[in-house]
Amino acid sequence: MNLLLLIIGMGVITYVTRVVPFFSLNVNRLPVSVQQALQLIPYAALGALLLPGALRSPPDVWFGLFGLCTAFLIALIGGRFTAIICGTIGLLSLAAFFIY
Amino acid sequence: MNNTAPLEHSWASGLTQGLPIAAGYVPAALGFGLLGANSGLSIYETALMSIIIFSGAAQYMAIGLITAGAGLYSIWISTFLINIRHLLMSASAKQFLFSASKWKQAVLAFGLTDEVFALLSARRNKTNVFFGIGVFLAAYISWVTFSCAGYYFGAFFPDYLQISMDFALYALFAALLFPAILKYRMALYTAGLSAAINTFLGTWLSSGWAVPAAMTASVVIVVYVSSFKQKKGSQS
Repeated sequence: MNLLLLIIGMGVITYVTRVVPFFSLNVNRLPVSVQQALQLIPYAALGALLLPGALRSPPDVWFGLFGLCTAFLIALIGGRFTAIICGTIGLLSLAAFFIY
Repeated sequence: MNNTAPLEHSWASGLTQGLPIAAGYVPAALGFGLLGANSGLSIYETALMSIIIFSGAAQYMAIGLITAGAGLYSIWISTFLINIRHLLMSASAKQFLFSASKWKQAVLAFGLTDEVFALLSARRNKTNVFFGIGVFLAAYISWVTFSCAGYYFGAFFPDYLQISMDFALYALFAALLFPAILKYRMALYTAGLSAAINTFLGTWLSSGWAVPAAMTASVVIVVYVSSFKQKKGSQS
């Protein structure tokens, strides 16, 4: 596969989704069910990207489970993006340091 | 544009306010660079992805799909599907950035990642396009720099750090998803259904097609069921 072509295409696709609404698309005019579907798509994407991949990440399923639970608990106590990533990676590093 | 704009509207102030995002990108970008190196990409390809695409979720997904042997089109389709959320974010950002000229909006649009958008919309009354471009630059510089750093230095990290960096991709997805599913029940249903369908389909489909198929199916099902419920509710 031509990686350069892949990367440029991905860049164009990503930019188009970010810039088109500034110029033309009026989301408010789309049917309600389409608007609803558009709102849900990111969560569908993230759900499919997270599972089962996170549990198959090396070294084993318990490591992935621990990471997911840590991230969920940080979100539960009100942590946002930065806190969840840094907290999860920090705790996983500690766990890996002592266990693996 | 006058030069006496208040400080909170300047791009320099945006750079400062963007620092928490820049910090959050550090482990995710290091993890991406390391993943690129481990997947056999060159430093140019890894750096170009961060420079041209600037979308953590899409970049991580692409490397996963490349190593799984997926083709060009399935990766492009997945890129589009995972980035559809930006259509809504930009449509919303347009509401509070409408006074800026079109080309400035077009510049800022390149940098409207989830996190940049979230920060800007949280202070929508105290923001303008220059501030937004400052936030974007802070996030962008961090993302590109630490992607390259992860590529070169990731292999020198101690084992326990490399193991946890492997998980950085999922930490990034979780950081985007978990706050949302705690707030919106529909997000929880959709993400859960999509994960279940993907796990099921993944047993015989390549992940290049299982992911977009699971996404489409779960959204269609949730929207259909909720419209059915609403109709039923309005009849009774």
